[in-house]
Amino acid sequence: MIHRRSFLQSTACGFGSVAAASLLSQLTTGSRVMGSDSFGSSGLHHIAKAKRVIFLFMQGGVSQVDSFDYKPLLASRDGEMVGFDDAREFANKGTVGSPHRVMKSPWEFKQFGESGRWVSELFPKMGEHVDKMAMIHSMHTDGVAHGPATLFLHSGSQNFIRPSMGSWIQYGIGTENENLPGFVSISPSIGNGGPRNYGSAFLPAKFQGTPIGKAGRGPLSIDHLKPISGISNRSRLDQIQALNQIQLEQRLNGETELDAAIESYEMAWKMQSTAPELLDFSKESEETSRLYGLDQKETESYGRKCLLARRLCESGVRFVQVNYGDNSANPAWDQHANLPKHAEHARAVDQPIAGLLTDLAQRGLLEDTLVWWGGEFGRAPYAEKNGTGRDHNPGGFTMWLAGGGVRPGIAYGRTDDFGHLAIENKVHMHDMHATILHLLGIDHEKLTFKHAGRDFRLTDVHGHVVRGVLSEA
Amino acid sequence: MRGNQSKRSCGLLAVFLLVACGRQTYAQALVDERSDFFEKRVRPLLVARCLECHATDTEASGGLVLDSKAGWSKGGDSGAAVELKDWQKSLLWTAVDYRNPKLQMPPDTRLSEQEKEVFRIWLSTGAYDPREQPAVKPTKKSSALSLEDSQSHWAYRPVTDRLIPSTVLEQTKAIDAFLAKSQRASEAHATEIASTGVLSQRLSIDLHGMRQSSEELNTRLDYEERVDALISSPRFGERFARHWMDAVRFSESITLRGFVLPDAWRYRKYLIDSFNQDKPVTEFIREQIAGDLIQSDSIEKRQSQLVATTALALGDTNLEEQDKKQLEMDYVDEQLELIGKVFLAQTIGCARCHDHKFDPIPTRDYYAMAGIMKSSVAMEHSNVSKWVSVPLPMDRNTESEYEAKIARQAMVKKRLDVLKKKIQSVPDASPTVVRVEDLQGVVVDDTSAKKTGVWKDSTSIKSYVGMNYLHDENDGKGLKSVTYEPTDIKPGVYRVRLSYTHGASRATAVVVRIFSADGEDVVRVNQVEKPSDDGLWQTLGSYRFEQGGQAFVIISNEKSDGHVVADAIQFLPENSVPTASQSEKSTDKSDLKQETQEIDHGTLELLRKESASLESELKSLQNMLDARPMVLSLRAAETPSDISIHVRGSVHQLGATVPRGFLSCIPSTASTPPIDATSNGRLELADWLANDRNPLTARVYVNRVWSWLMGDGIVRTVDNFGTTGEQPSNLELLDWLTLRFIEHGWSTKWLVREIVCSDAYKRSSKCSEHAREIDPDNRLFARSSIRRLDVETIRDTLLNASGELDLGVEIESTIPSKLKEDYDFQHSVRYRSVYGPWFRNALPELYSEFDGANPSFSISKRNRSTIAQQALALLNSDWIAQRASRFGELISKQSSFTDDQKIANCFQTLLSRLPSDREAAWANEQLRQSRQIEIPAEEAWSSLVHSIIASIDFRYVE
Repeated sequence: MIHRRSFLQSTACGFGSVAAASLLSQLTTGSRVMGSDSFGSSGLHHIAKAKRVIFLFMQGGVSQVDSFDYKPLLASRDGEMVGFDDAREFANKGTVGSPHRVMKSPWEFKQFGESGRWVSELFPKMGEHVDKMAMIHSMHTDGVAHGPATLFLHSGSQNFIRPSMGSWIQYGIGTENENLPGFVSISPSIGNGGPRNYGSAFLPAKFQGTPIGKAGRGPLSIDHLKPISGISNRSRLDQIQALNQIQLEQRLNGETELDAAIESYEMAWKMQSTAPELLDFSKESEETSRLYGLDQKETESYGRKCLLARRLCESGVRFVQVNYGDNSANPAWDQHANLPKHAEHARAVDQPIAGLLTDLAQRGLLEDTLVWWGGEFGRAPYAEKNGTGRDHNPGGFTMWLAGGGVRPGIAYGRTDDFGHLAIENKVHMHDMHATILHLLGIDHEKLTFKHAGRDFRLTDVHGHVVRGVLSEA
Repeated sequence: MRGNQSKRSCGLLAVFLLVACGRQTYAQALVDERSDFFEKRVRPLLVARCLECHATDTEASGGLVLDSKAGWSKGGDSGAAVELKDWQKSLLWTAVDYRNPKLQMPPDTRLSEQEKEVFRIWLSTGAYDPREQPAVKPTKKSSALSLEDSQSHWAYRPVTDRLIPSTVLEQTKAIDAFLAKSQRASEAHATEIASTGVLSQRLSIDLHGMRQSSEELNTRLDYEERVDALISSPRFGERFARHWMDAVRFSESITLRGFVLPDAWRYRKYLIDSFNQDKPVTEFIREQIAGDLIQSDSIEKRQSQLVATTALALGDTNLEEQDKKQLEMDYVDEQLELIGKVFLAQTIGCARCHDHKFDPIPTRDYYAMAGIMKSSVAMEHSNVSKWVSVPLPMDRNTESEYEAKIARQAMVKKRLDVLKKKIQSVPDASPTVVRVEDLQGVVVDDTSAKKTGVWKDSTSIKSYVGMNYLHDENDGKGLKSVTYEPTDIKPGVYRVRLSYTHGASRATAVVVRIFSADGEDVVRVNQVEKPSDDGLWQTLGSYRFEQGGQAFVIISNEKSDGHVVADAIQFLPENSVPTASQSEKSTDKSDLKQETQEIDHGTLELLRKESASLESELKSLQNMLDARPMVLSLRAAETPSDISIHVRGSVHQLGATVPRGFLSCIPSTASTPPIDATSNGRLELADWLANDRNPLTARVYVNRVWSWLMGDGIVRTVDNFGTTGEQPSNLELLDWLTLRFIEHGWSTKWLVREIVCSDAYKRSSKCSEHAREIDPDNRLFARSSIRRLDVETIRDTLLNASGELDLGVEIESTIPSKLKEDYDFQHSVRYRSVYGPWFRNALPELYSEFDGANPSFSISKRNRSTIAQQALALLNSDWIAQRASRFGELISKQSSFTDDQKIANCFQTLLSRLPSDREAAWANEQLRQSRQIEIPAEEAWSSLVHSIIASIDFRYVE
C-alpha cells in the first residue's frame, strides 16, 4: 500500500507534470484509480464488510438514559442528591463528586425484538429494528462543549484543524461513482465548526464533503449544480469546448494540466446529468413516501433527508451524513432545561430512521451499508443545576451501528447504574472511528497523510477496533 | 466510605497475620503473608488487567512497565506509579480509582470493586513485590538527528558566501550563473526568453495579482521600467500582503460561534503598507513578534508596531474549551507552530509531546519557547473565553481624553449606586399586582415556569406579577428550583429582570442562573433588599440569545439562608427603556399601610431626575468608549515565567521546568542575550529570529519570495527546512541570494527585482519532451511553469471587466459595523478580493472551489487541483454569471464599434490579448447562432463573454 500512498501524495502536492498527469488519469478513469474497482471487496488493507456509510447525526446530544440505556435506578432514586463526577465541573475547576439531583426519565421503557432490548417510548419505531443494531452503551468522547465535541466526533480532534472522517475515507478508498461527489453532508449546520465538520483540512480539496442544503432551511440542492443556461445544455458546453480546443492547439506545447482542465468540463457534464435526477423524488412510490414519513408534517423534513441518503447510497456515494440539527450554539437535542422537548425531536426522526432501515433492508443495501446513529455526546442522568433539564455528558452515552459487517441484535459495553459513565468495554470516539474504518477495509493505523513534517491519522495515536461489535468476531 | 474500607483492609491483613504468627517470627510472617497475597491476588490481577500494555515485552505504554518493582518505582513519563508514603496519592491508585477523567485505567473497562480492593490492600500495606530484578530495558530506536549532529543538516549551518560561477556571457546575472551551473551538470537546456507580451502579462499577475489592463497593454516601456512601475504601485503591496496572509492564516472571524474579529483589518492594512513601503524584513518580523514591547517616540510607529502583533492572535481558537489550562496551551501551540513554519520553516509543534522524531528539536526547546508565549495573556477567560483587545496608541491629548472618560464613567457609576440606594429606601407608594399583559418584552410568570420540588403559592406581599408568586417555605434547601423558559424569543440582546417581593425573612444570596447564547451566568440576589427598578424588578444583566439557542433562567434555593421567592422573569429587548407606567396600570390598588418617608416627595423627584440624567450620560460615555480604536493583540503578563515540560503534551502532567529560550540546534547569536527573569521574552525571541546570523530566518524568507515568483521554492517544502523537508535544489544560489538580501537591508523589493530581472524568471514555458524528461518537476528552473490564476486574480479580473472594481485608497474595514457573527454573510463586490472580509464560516464566492487558502492554517503553497466543481462553478455560479452579464451589457452598448472590434475588446479585457483568427471566427459563429434564434444582443454578448471566462486561457497564463 506504500505505493498507493505515495501516489495519492504526489497528486496531493499538485505541482508539476507528474501530478497533472495523475489528476488527468483520475478524471478520465475515475473509479478505476480511486474507487472500489481497483480494490473491490478486498478493501484497502483487508476485506471490506461495508462499502458505504450513512451517519445519522443527532446534533446537540441525545440523552442515553431517556432513549436506549435503560436504568431503573433513576426512577427508584429520583430526587435524591448524589455525588457525581460532572465533566464540566472537572474541566472548569478540577472538582469531582459534587452533589446533583437524580432525575428519572419522563418516558417509559419497554423491551423490543427478539433480543429484548430496552427502548423508551421516545423511539417506538426505531425499537422495531433493535435486532438489526449493535447498541454501544459505553461510548465516551473528548470535549464538554458542543463545538469541541462536534469537531472531535467528525475529525478526531477538538482544537486542531483536521480532516473530517468522510474526507479520510474518500482519500483512502475513493468513490464508487465518479459522476457524484463521494462524501455528502445533508443539511449541515453552520454552527459548532460548520464547514470544518465536513472539510478536508490538509487533505487535498477534492476530498472535502459536498453539502446538500443547509440546516434549518432551504431546498436540498448542491452549489453550482443546475442546467447550463443558453441555447441548449450540451451545445453550450460544446461551444466552450470548441474554444478550449482552439486555445489548446495554439499553445503548441500544452501541459497535461490543460487537458485535465478541459476534461473537467466533461466530468461536470456527467455530474450535472446525474445529480438533479437524484434530488428529484417524484418517481418514488407513495408507499416509500409513507415509509419515510413524508406524509406527516413533523417527519417530512428529516424523512426527505433520509430518503435522499438512500438514493445517494444506491448511486455509489461513499459517505452520507444526514444531519438533524440547527445553526444555534445549543442545537436541537440540547435540552439543558425542559427535557420533555426531547419528544419533539424524537418524533421528527423516529419514523424516518426506521423507514430508512426498512428500505435499506428491503433493497438488500443494508448488507454492505453501515448505518451509524448518535450525537456528539450524551446527557447527564441528573438534573442540571437542579432544574428541569440535563447537561452534556461526554463520559458515557449510546450510539448504534447497523448493517454491513455489524453483529446484529447485540448490546455492547455498559455505563454505571445511573447511566452516567461508561465502565465496561468502554468505546472511545477514536475506537468508533477505528471500527468504522475497519469495516470499510481500512486499517486506521495505516491510513496516513504527511503534513507539516509528520504522518497524520484520523485516530491520532489512539483507537482500537471494537471487535465485539463485528459480525466476523 | 473510604475510611471504612481502609479499616477493612487493615482487618484483612490482621487475619492473615494471626494465622501466620503461630510458628514464625512476626516479620517473616508479614513477608509470607504479603507474598501470598501478592501471588494469589495481585500478580494475577496485574497480568489480567495491566500487563497487556504495561510490560517490557508489550508496549510499555506511557513509558510505564508494571512487570517489576523497578518498573513501577521508576514509573513512566508522569513519574513513579506508586507513592509508598501516601499510597492514596499513587498514580496507580488514581488511575484505577477512575475519578480523574484524564487518568483512567484500564482504559476500556474499569476494575470491579473487588479488584480495586486488591490494589487498595496491596498499596496500603507497602506494595510488596518479589519481582525485584529490573525488566530488560527496551532499546529505544531513534531516527532523530541529535543536537550534537545538527550541523550535518544544511539548514542549521550558517549561510556561507558563494562565488558566482564563471559564465561565457559577461552580462549574465548571478542567479542565472548559479542555475546554469546546475543545469549544465544535468544536461538540461534552458528555454529561450518569452515574448514581451507574455512577460508583461506574467509580471502583472505575479507582482499585482491582476491581469494587465488595456491601458497597461498599450504603454511602451522596456522590461525593467515595467518592473519598476509595477513594484512602486500600491497594487504590489496588496498582492504580496495576500501571500503573507496565507502564511499567517489571516481571517476576520473564528469558526466556532462565528465570532467576528472587528479589528483584524488593521493588520491587513499593516501588511499592505509594509510591503509597499518596503519595510526591512527584520523590522517586519520583530514587529509581528513583539511590536507591543518595542519602544518608540512616534505614535504612528507605536500604532503599526502594536497592530503587527495581531499576527499572533489570529488562530482559529476554540474559545469554548472548558479546560482553560488546555485552551491556553493549545493557543501557545498554535502560535509556536505558526512561528516555526512561517519564520523558521521548522515543525516545532512535533516536539510538544515528545522529542522531535526527526529534527534536533527536543521537548525542552518546545517548552522553552512555549514559556515565552505563555508569558503573554491572549484571552480573558469565561465560559466562552474572549480574545484580547488593546487600545490603539493615540496622541497624548486624545489618550488623556479617553482616560478622563473612563474616570468619569467610574464616577458616574458610583454616584448612580448611591442614588439608587437612596431612591430605593423610599417605600413604593403603591404596591400593586401587575398584569403580565401590561408588561414590555417577553415575560415568563411563575405560573408558566417549571417547578422542581415543592413551592408554595402566595399573594401575601405585593408587588408581584400575575396571579401570585412562589416561595420555597425556607425548606428543602438545594432541592428546589424554578426554570423560566420563554417559548419563542427573537434573537438579540436582552436585559433580563427578576421580580420578587422583598422582606426581612428572605434569603440574602439567591442563586439565579441565566443561560444564554454565551453560556451560563450566575447572579446572586439579595431578596431582603427591595428590587432596584421600581421596587418590583431587579436587573440581572444583559444577555444575548440566538435562534434556537438556549434561553432560560433557573432560580434555585441552594445554600439559601431564608425564604427564596420566585415570581416572574422579564426579557426586555436592549435599548428599550422600561417605563415607569407599569405600576400605574395596576388593577389592584394596595391597601397596605404606607411607611413614613424619610425623603419628601420633592427630593425624591430631584434624585430621580439626577439619576435619569446620569444614566443617559453613562450611555453616551459608553458609546464614545465603544468607538475607541482597538487592536487585536496580546498583553504581556505582569509576571513572566518559565513553564514546565508537559509530559506527553498533557496539561495535567507536568515535568521539569525549563528556562525560556530558543531552538538549541541553532547556535546562539552573539547579539541575543539570555532572557532576563523579569523580561517578557518575546522581544528577545524577535531579535533572535530577525538576525543576520540566524541561518534559517533569511533563507526561509528568500525562498518564500522565490516560490511566490517562480512557482516553486529552491527548497520546495517552503515551510519545512527540517530533515523531513526537501533538500534545496541549489543551495549555493539560495545562500548567495540570502547574503545579498541581508546586505541590501533585508529589502523585499530589492529581492523581487533581482529575481524577476533574471533570465530564469523570463524563460518560456515551452520546452521539449526531452527537457521534461530530464527534469519533470522543473527543479533546475531551466524553463518557466505555466501560471494558473489564483482565485483572487480570477475575481479581481472579473470585477474589473464588469466595471465594478473600486481600487480605492486606504481601504479599512469592510465588515458592516455591529456585525457580530459571520454566518451566512453576503459578500458585496466593490474592492479587490484581498480586502475581504475574510470570514471562516463565509468565504467569498469561488474561494473553496478554486483552491483558496484555508484560513485556519498557515499555508505556504496553495493546492492546485483540477476538479469538476471548478468547471461547474465557471458554468453555473451566479456570481460569475452576474459579472459576465454586466460586462456583456457594457460591450453590447458600444454602438460605434463593429462586432470584430467588440470581440477584440472582450479578449483584451479577459485574456489581455487580441483573439487569433480562429478565435475570432469562433466568436462570430457564436454570435451568429445567438442571432439566429433571436436572443437579445445583451444576452448574446454576455453568453460570449461567459464562454471566454470558461476557456482555459482565462485561467492559465504562459
